[in-house]
Amino acid sequence: MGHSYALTGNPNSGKTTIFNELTGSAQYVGNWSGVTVEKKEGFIKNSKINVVDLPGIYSMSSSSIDEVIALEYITEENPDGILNVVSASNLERNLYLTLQLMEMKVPVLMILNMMDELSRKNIKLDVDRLKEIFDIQIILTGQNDRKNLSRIKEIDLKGLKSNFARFSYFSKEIQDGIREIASHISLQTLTQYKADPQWLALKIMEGDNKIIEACCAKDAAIIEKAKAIRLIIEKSEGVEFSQLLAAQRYSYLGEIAGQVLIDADGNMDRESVSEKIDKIMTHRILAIPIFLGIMWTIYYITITGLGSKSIEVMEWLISDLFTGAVKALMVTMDVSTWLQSLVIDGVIGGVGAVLVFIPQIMILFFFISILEDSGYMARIAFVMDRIFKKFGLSGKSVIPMLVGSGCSVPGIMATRTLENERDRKLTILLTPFISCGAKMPVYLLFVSAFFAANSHWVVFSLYLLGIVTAMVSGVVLTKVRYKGVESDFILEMPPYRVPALKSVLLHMWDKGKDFLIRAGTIIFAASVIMWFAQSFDLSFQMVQDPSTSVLADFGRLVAPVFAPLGFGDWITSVAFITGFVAKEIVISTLSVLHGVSQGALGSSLTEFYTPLSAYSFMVFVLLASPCFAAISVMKRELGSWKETGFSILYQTGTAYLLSMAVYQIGSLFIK
Amino acid sequence: MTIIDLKPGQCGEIYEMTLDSKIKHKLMEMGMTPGTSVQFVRTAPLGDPINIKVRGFNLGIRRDVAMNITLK
Amino acid sequence: MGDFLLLVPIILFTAYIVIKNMKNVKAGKCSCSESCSGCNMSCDKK
Ligand SMILES: Nc1nc2c(ncn2[C@@H]2O[C@H](COP(=O)(O)OP(=O)(O)OP(=O)(O)O)[C@@H](O)[C@H]2O)c(=O)[nH]1
Ligand SMILES: [Mg+2]
Repeated sequence: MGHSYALTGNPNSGKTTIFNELTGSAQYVGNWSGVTVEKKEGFIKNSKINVVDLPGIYSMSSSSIDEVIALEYITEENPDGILNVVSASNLERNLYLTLQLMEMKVPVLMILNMMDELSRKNIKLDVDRLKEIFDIQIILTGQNDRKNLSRIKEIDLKGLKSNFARFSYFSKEIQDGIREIASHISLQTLTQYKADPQWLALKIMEGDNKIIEACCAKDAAIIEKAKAIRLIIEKSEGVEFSQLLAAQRYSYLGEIAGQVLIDADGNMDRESVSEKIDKIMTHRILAIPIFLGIMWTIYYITITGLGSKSIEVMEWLISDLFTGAVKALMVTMDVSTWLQSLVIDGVIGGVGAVLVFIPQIMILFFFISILEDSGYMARIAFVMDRIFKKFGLSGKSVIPMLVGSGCSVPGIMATRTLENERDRKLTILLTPFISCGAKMPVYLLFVSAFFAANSHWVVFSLYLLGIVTAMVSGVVLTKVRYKGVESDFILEMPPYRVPALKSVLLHMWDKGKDFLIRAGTIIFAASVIMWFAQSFDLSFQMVQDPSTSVLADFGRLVAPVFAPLGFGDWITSVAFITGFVAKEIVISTLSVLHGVSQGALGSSLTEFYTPLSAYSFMVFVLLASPCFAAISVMKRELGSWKETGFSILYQTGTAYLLSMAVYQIGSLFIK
Repeated sequence: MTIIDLKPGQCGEIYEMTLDSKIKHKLMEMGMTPGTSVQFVRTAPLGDPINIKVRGFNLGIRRDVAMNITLK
Repeated sequence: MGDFLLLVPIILFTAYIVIKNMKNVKAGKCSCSESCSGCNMSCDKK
């Protein structure tokens, strides 16, 4: 059996970066606090050592789900050792957690990360002194300098011992209390609950219910005793016990920082580049226009700038080159005509309709990835908090929504960092309103057919509509369903960082690959099913005209429901319904059922829709219930089908009403 | 005097935080203990929240919280 | 013969995908590639 180490540290200290480096995986890295929201395991390359990447924590107490996950792992799963990732550019606060880990008396190896940032600030660090103080080994690392990490393999963490003077920074009363309680903890408790007695004593004194419950719920005497000591101390100091601990730890950390950090030009507080950038990005007047401008530019480049060229190339590749080759091959294989149709109109038609847009999806993710890596996300949350507060949410809900503009699934996951249960549920419900990457192909198809002249404006308007719908829904739902107080807003704003090209490209490729795999699997399957359903009638006879097929019968049954939105045809109804499986399937469906090749689909659509009903169509796709995957994650995060069902109904209902409004009101003006 | 009475760029030393114990604890664990120096960096464009700097990092907190953090 | 060679794999593959996805959704877990995009945050790549 190899060892198992936990990567622990403050949020945004670089744990996942180091995890990826050690294990060769590609877990998500971003420049804000709370990127990782669940534990991830992997093996260090060429070894049997298992490492677990955990969500970041500021201290050994937790207030949100992601923090609970990290803490439970450290205190309950007894890892063989802790790899404590410390950001050197934010030493004092990062060491607060280190101090608490040392108090636990578990084996700790410190990985001092972000050394590059420290030297950029022109600050020197006396590593030897730091080693001496904590009596531990330290591995130094930074961007572009990860070679020291290989030393982890050579160190047996389990054997590490430290003579760090833990608790020495607490007042005498507290130290006495710890000793007193520790001496009363029974041997039985200690053998059952594997923990250091003094640490346990401190936890009992703090009144950490979770730990008390686990270790010594039955030992009422000790709990009482600890409480008595705590009350005496609190009374004499006039401060809550846990706050007293924090204050005393920090005053010690202040001393340490004074000893180990050497400011080379004696100007530690000089304004950094990051702060200069912030002057503009969070500027009183410019901040909001800048945000909108950035989003607009992203959509402009994705759709018009680079996008339109990429469509032409992809269409040529798929319809001309690939379809031609496959056709020729099937003819030589003597494949019957109906099967040729399945392959050409069904499979290639359906899958190809999505593939055409893959380059654009990758471009979109390229930009989202830059946004996430730069540190701008936290600024958007900072700027938008006021607005979101008005709509019953907190600025922190902005981050799940921004992540959701790539894909709702990680967006919904990101709500784990919200401390308040009400905020979290509401944000889970609202995140799918933000337009995701998979909805993009639908817009792209429609705008190129109907709004070619100002396509990016139309898509941008949908993006804004998604945001506005989410916010208005926030107000409505706060009034009727998610009552309660909104949570506190404490948001760390990390320094801006230049996104590493490698990680941006990797991320882009990762997302592109996801879409490719989806195209090859569910979209493939859906296209095949769709082709069969439109080729046979109820008596399993092959039909000449798809409009006499089972699928058409079914579509016509549903069609009246959608008539008020501007489309009473069976194909649209079927497309909407298949959209529940995955958003891109909407266009695969259209492509298969219209029975035309990629290039011709647009013009075929113009016979079915007016620009107005096309817009109404996009509004429905934007807002209606998210895809299977998102529903499944929603269910997991909400923990109940009832809540999930409500969300789906609410989203689909909103979509219906709004696209009806668009169509009906629009019809009054456009004759 | 509280944090919001500072001018942008000005610093002060935390004296006391009269806040509900959950958020107070959280802020203290992030380093805002009595005696710590805080810098008021700027207000968000819409007046709330505000950006402060403690122990070398930037933090966004709401105005009503900042109002209850008195300075020496 | 050509028909058979082509049709059987298509049908089998389709059935496989459908069943696999139904299972995933039911289990409340989203498999990275098959049923959702961009969710490398939400699934364990072991
Ligand atoms: N300059 C510099 N940046 C780094 C270094 N290590 C990581 N980063 C950046 O720091 C940010 C945070 O990295 P992550 O690995 O996501 O941090 P984390 O600790 O996993 O964060 P959470 O999951 O939110 O707790 C990213 O933008 C990284 O690119 C480093 O050594 N130097
Ligand atoms: Mg992480």
